[in-house]
Amino acid sequence: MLLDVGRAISAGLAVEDGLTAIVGAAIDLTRARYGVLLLVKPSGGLEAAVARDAQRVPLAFDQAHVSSSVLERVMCSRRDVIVDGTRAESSICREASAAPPGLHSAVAIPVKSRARASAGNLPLIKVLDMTIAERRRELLGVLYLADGMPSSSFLSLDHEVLRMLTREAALVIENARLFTTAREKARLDHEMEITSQIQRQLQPARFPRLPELEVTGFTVECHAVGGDCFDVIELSDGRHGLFVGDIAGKGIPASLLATLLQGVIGTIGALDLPLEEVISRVNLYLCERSAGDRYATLFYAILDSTGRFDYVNAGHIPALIRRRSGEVETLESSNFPVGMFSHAQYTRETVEIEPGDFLVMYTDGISEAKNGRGQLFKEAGGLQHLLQRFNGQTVDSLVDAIRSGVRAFTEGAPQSDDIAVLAVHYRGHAPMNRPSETEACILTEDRLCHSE
Amino acid sequence: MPFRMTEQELESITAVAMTGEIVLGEESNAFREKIAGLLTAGKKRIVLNVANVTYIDSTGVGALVASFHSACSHGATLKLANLGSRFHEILQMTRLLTVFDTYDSEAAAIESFAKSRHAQA
Repeated sequence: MLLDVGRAISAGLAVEDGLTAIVGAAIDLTRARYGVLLLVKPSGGLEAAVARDAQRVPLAFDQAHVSSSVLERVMCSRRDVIVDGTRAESSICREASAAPPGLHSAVAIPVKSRARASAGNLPLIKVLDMTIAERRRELLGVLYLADGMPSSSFLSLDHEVLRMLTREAALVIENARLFTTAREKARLDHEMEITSQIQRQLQPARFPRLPELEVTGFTVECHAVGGDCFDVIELSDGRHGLFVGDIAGKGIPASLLATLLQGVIGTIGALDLPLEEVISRVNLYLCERSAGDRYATLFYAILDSTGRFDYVNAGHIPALIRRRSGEVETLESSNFPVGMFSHAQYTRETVEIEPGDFLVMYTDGISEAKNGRGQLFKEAGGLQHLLQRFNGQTVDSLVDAIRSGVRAFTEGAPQSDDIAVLAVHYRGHAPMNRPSETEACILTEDRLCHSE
Repeated sequence: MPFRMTEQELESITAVAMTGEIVLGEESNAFREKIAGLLTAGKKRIVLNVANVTYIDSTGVGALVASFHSACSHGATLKLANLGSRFHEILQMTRLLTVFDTYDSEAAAIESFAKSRHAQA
């Protein structure tokens, strides 16, 4: 009999098939008129999962009477309850009682998890009612057998076989749970991968490669999706809007707002309003749509072909200008982040960029990258020091230097925050040599390197 | 270091000494709940002593601002005392130094509440 049950389970049949085999075996053993396996619902009650009569024929649940008082006793005590209709009390059973009116005899055995679980979600009264060993096993269900052999002929061996059957039922139920959990995790992983792809696709697929300037950038997310974003917006008269944003927080919540921020800036920025007006509108938009603790720092700038660089630093870490001479200047914040205060006013600053200068806008995943000793990149000189020593001539070599510099500093320590870098090499005004669109160099997506 | 908060009541001024990191997760949630609890209990003058706050991230700043908004709506005032360099740097960068009253010591923050009370009287 147990062999049959074992075969049914090992054959990888559906949960119901496994449980049906167990109920059938239990009916055979006890010669019960019918048997029911009830499972604990997430809400805490019991519901019938399988009901079979003595010939193993499916029984409608409403025809399979189950004593609620017996079930209540099993649920509370988590022990076997055997009700004998022929005797007032049985000496065989751990919990035996006289049959309630209308009930001849019944055997009810708890199906308990194999792993010891916390009693944290059980009512206190139930926890107090159990021994320590008992309370650590989660109750999965109850095997209920009605009108079987009288307890006087119910041998301890039969009792032990019944218990073995409930352990098999626990195995089936827990395996089904594991399978469901694994399938759900696989679904979530798949959705996360798609979300990650969408976020990557929202980033600029190509950067301006013009005689007067070259731009490039990359992000490295801490998790599958990140809260950092950047974009380049092409404006009239050879001007370019450049922004880097950092949403407070990490993971999915931050990535949702990062996507929103990128869309809002792309839309409002393209209106070509005064810079401070763009940021005020973005701020209002976010304040109206997010809670006060969800905000973003951002650096938004417009660079024209003559080297005029207007910017608003809204609570963001300072962007850096690496002058041709090697000197490094910082463009500090003088504004509130966006999404924090709806009444915030934003001020614009202006600086002149000279031919040969580099600009780096980035997020604090760079400056606060940690090495194995807990030291931050900025404490070791950070990007400023790296830029001072940089002697390359192209924006790509600069970004490569940033990547390798951070990588060398962290020495393989886990990344603790999202990273975004947008870098510009300004080469000077060349109004007569503007290339056509087809002459612009298009970076392939893998150049953007989304993960290390 | 686990995040801890201990409060002390001094003549209707509540001083909360904070230790550890105010970061994304349990720490920033615990901080928000603490301030929300004080406001619900009717506390109107709150000093946050952040001398032993070793790190605050962007989520921690968000929790601080949310608590500031919440305090305003309850007619209460939050003051900060003993800002370390990291705390000061992030509040300066986000311009929040212009929003929060900050003091070099807990005693100075408490004293400022006492002064404003005398001025009102």
